[in-house]
Amino acid sequence: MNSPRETQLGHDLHRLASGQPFTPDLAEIKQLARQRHRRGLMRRGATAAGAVVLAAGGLFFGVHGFSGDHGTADTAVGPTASAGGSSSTASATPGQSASGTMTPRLETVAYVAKQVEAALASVNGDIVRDDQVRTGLDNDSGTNWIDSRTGNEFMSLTGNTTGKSLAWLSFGSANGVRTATQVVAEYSTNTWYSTTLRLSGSAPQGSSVNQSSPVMTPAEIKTWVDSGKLKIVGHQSINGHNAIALRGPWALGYREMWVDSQTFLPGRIFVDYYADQGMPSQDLKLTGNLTWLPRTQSLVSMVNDVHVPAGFKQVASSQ
Amino acid sequence: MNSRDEEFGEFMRNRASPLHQSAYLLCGDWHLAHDLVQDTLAKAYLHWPRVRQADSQDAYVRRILLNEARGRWRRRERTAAVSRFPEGREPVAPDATDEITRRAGLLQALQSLPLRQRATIVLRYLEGMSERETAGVLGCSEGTVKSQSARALGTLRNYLDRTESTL
Repeated sequence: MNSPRETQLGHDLHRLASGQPFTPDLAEIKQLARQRHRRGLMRRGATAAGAVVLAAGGLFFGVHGFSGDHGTADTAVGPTASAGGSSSTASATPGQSASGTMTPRLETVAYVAKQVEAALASVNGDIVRDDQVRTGLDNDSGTNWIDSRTGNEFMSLTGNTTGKSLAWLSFGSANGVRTATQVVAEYSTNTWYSTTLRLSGSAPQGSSVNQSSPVMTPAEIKTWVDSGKLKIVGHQSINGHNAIALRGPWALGYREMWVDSQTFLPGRIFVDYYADQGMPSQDLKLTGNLTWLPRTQSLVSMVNDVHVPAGFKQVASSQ
Repeated sequence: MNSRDEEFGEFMRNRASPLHQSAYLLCGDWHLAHDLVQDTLAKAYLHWPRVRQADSQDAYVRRILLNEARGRWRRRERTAAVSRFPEGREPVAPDATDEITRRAGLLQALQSLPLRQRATIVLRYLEGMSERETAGVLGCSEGTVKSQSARALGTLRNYLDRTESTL
């Protein structure tokens, strides 16, 4: 039972919050929902592509290794290994050292970071396949192919409520400002559109590049690495390869990067949204399993050339 | 209009105003509250099949609202100074005989609370939720709700003491 002053507080709160009518329009909400879905596509694409651009530039780290054992698919780690391998992946909870196979290691974060940086710098134009699974409120899956030389990306996404989409993300510059252009084809409406976002400076509202975006600028990555907040959280055998898990915070939770202990190439990146922050979690998690593929003409064309399905109608990006 | 739109439309008509009121107390600005609820409803619409399967659609959408509020709060913290009281100064309720000023004092005092405590106050005393229900929305234990409430009421004690003296 509330005390008199708690009861009074309730009355005061009601009076304070009353008197402002609010009648949202369904059409407007649906429009916002569509825009939000598209921003999500861009954010997913830029997450992976940003990682490879950084890798190609030798800036490494931070974004690249989605890890954790939340993925449902087994994962191969290392150059030219194929995703979805046959061996079983040990399961563990993020925050714990990954699995029962965990063994004490002498690697320090600084040592591992240096090895990862060297490994990424030695990658010669591989096409990176990133099989992503997102669970929680946004329950969908998709596959990205990323050109580590250009940073461009092709994505095929299937959402449980939004259907199938294809997207091509490419990077450029205008007036000294780095830009990202995304072409999206949506099978639910047989339409496609193109949109361009600035990637530096004051990002426009709705851009994937904001304080809560998983995309990190080089300066942010350096800050992240230098922050002393990264830690090694475990070792796990994935498809016969020992992988090292590094974890660091980001604006909306934390991210982990799992790297092969032999090649030091990222094999998995895991992002947990809103974790460990004392607020309601909707268990949003994104796992990306990375496969490093040799650069072939067909893969290069698939990633860098836009192929909108026949019969699709172009619409404005705001529709 | 399809069945999804009809279902969601009914939910929106019933719940938009209470969500709007909660959002206002969370962010302290009607325009921000408007945007916050619009974004919340858009997200709920996008994921309606999942929302409608929840034990409590209302609790689920309130979680979305709180997460949206927190995301904005974090971005705001990183880009601009948050309106806080100067060091060593606690919010003081103004003259209780002035109703408008008194409400402004309450709003100011609320905004001085950490977001989680503010959310607890809004759910407990605006929405009239029990500690168990509040814990369900916040995703924490009832004990945490109790401690968060106690801390928040402690911070608001100047306002509450002044109010109590006028009862």
